[in-house]
Amino acid sequence: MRLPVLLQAPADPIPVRPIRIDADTTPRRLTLRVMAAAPRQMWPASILLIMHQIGESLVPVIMGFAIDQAVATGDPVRLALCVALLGADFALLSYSYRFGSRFGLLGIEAVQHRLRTLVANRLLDPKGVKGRAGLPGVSLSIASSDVNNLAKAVAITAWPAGELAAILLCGTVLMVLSWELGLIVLLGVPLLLFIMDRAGGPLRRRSHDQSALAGEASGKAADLLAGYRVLSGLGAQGAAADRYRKSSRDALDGSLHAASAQGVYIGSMNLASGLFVAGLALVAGLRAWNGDLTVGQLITVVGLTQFIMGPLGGISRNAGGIWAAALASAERVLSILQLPHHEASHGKAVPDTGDGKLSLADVRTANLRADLDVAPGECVGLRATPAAAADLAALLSGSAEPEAGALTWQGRPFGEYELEALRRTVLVVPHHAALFDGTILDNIGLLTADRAAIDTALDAADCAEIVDAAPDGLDTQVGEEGLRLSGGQRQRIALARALAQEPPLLVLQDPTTAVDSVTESRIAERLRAARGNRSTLLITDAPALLAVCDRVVDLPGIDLPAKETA
Amino acid sequence: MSDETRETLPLATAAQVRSEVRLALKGGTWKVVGVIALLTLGATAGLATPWALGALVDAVSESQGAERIWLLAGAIAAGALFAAFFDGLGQVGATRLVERVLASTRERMVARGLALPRAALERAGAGDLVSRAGDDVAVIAEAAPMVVPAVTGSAFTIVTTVVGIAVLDWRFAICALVLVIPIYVWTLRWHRRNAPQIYEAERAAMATRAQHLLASLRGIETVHAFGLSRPHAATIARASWQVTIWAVRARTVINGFFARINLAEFLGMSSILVVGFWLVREGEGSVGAATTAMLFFLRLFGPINELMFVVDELQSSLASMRRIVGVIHADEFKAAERTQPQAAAADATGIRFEYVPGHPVLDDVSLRIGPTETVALVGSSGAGKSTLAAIVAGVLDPGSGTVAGSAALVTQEVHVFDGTLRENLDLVKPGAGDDELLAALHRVGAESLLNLPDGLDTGIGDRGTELTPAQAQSLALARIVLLDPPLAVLDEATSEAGSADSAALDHASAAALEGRAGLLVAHRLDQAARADRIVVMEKGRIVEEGAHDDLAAADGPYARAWSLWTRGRS
Repeated sequence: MRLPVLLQAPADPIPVRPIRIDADTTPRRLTLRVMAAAPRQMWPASILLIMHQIGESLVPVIMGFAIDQAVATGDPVRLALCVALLGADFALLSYSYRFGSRFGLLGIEAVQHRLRTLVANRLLDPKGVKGRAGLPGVSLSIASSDVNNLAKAVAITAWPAGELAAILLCGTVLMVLSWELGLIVLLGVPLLLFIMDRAGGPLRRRSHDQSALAGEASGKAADLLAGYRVLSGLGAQGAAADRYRKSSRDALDGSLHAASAQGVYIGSMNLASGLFVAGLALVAGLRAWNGDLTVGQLITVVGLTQFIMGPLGGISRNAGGIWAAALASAERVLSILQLPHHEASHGKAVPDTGDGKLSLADVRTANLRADLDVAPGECVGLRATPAAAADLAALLSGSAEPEAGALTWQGRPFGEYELEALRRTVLVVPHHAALFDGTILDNIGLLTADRAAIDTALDAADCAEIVDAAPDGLDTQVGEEGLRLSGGQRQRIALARALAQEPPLLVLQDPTTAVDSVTESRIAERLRAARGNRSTLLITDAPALLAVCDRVVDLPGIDLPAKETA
Repeated sequence: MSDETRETLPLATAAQVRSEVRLALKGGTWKVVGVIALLTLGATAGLATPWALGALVDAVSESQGAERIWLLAGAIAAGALFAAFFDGLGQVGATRLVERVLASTRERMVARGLALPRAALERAGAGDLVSRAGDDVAVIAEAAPMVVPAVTGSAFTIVTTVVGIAVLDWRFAICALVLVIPIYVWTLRWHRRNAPQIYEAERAAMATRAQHLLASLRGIETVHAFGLSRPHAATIARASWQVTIWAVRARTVINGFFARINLAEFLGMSSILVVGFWLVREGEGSVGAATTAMLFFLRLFGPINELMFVVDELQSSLASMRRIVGVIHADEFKAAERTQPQAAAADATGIRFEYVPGHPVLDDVSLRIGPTETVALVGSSGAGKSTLAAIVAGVLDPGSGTVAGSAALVTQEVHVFDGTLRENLDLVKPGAGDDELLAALHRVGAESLLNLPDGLDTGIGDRGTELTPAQAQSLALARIVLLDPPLAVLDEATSEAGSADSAALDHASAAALEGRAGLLVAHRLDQAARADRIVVMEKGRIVEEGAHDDLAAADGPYARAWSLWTRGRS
């Protein structure tokens, strides 16, 4: 199909003004900053939309003029002129809207994209979050619908501007015709807007509750669908669907409450503007009756009055409703953007990429007590309780600090290193390593490892048969979360990915729990050679793996007294 | 990250959407009638304003008196009151009605989505389903309260106003309608031709965006460990901007739509002006009548725009609705029914299975499991053990061959649901009593779960107490005890826990299999050794079968694996 080429979204995101967010940012301030973020799009948008509204308000004026000048006089030349005038006005109002609204949308979309990027970046930030993150489904709902609602606030700078301009123009025309009428419009309109803001209060609260409940329901759906394999294995899909139904019913109750609030709001707005028009009609009618207005002027007044209802209603819809929804969503967006980071401190130093020297001197955490030195090129096996292993992984990945003792890497304390630089040299592979949608090669190489490293890693993790059996070899798609592969295959691909990065220190946690003993012993044999003179920490109880380590250390975890419960 | 290779869940046809809405509205006919009546009353009351304004012009030009003017202003006020009351009430009613339909539709969709066969959901990706349950539901929820009142209210306003114009002089109506209606029809057709595909592309882009974000959030530990924050954020950003590109294209179509409507408005007004001019010149009409005709026509703009605009919202909602209902009607993804085998827990013969054509994962495999027999499946990973286990358990259907019987399946992928410990357990047996739940936990030796701070009411999962992998596994095994199926398939169910807890979990899985048939996918061979029978698989075939002592003594692949396993362990 053919599409007009003017003012389409470019292939790359449109830059917007930075949106500042700190710990003190309130939802109101964030919404205001969002509104001011795209002046380059919103200035032309508001000017064009003002022109559009002026064109719209001129329609009844031209109509009155045509009846006075053409219909009443019977002059065909004047008729032709009036039709041409009307055509010009329609061209003005049509084209200014066409381009104004598209400028406006580009502004809204650019800001929306920026906000979504901010939210996604915060969610993926290497510094993580302090404590536990929210449900992925809830975060997803904030990054989709709340960001969308918040960005719509940008529209307030353009559409209502046009509507306000139309109201002012009508007020001025009316003022010229009769100062009483002008005064009614210029005083009545701010009063109406004030009432709208007041009446919008309950709506704002309800729509806040509603979006929270909708987020909860959508989070529930995501959580249940994430556990889909468990549910289908147990035939528990029915019970799970019941759970979702409960959540969905809560969201429905929220929507029903919000619908009532919205009904009251819309009803009272319509009543207020209707009464306003009645008052205007009364004054205009009486003025005409007294002879202060001609019949032609009365027609213009009537036409303008009928027209002014549109922008009045639009202002309440555009400004009031959008502002209320944006404010509610801003709070939820801030709940992500203001998440505190984990508490470990980080410097600016970049660690040497040479042979790795790790030292844990009398390190203590809640579940761990460790005193350990790893020499360059050494492969050390660690036997540890799950809790101790988790604490050790958190320490080595730079996301926690010990309660006592010192951790050094390449001779400097962990805290002096820049976090991402540290992780490039100390790779702590999580036990539940996730694969991502893409090919086997994408997953192992991560677009950075060189081909030789990948081949060595594939061999060491015994992936040859996986690649051979896969329909497109290394270019085979692994599917969402790698689910087209079996558990054992995923574990080996994940191991190959870790080896292919060739980090100076690699920390593996139970890397072969899902593979059979024959494969495990093959991996154990090759692992050492693949690591070369780089250091490795292997947290495992598997004899085959421990057998290839230079030495095996039993990490004494701290024996916690069993919790007493009733 | 590529999406071309992904199969998507189907889109519903318009007829399927209609029948779904009818089903959801079942029994609510009188409510629909009530809402339509309220909205119609509201639209009628709304007509008081232009009528009274027209009458005002007459009252002044014909000098009908000040009382008349007061009366007409009163009529406008009364009309506004009634319009606000009925319209407000009608809108609340319509929104409530639509919200109920939506809630029941999305619930049916999630229920159906959860019941999709595993193969189908994994091919299509859970992100697609989540996006349909989230984004698409939101699109309709937002559109519905505008669409319904606009359709009923505006349609009535338009009809009465057109009648009003015709009453003034039939020539006004004919002239305006003959010129205007074809343009509206043409505009609607143009829109129907161009808009749906763009809305569908926009929705699909939203689904992709959701998929990327969800995958990164679920694998956040891996993202951090490998320093993938930046590339993943960049992928999400690209997907996000892609949505923008489609949104702007959609706006372009909407604008083209409005431009055509403006043309219709201009032609309508000019023709009324010309007809009025001609009627007045011929002495067949008055200036007042021409004025009123203009006023009426001007009054039509709003409702017609609203109606036409609603067509747009309607298209976009329909695109979403088709995606939602598409899940409900994903019939080709239905799982086959299973029969119960005679004197056995499961009986599979001649099973062939391939995920990708030409690459069989299972090739002519037969397996029969006795009523209380425990069978261990061993072999290298990728040999087809998990696929066979899934087929026996009934979550996958074989490509060819027959299977009888079905079973509960616990895999190494445990998922702790967001909720309380109780909610995590009674998923498999809704309404089970506390003693039953506690007994199940005792049976699998999950003492640490019994000691959680708030007992069964302890919140676990993503937002609650974090369980260790071993705790999560014993939770999964306790679910089996509660469900009490004749056959339980444990696919490496104790492997993810790491070696430290394996002994306790081996004990737990033995307890979970007590008194029922079991199929155990094991790579820790000491666990396999305790089974009644061991089945060894290689490259999609069964290569060896028998009791542990016989196989360990023979000179086959099992004996070799067993000697590797026992080395360093005794």
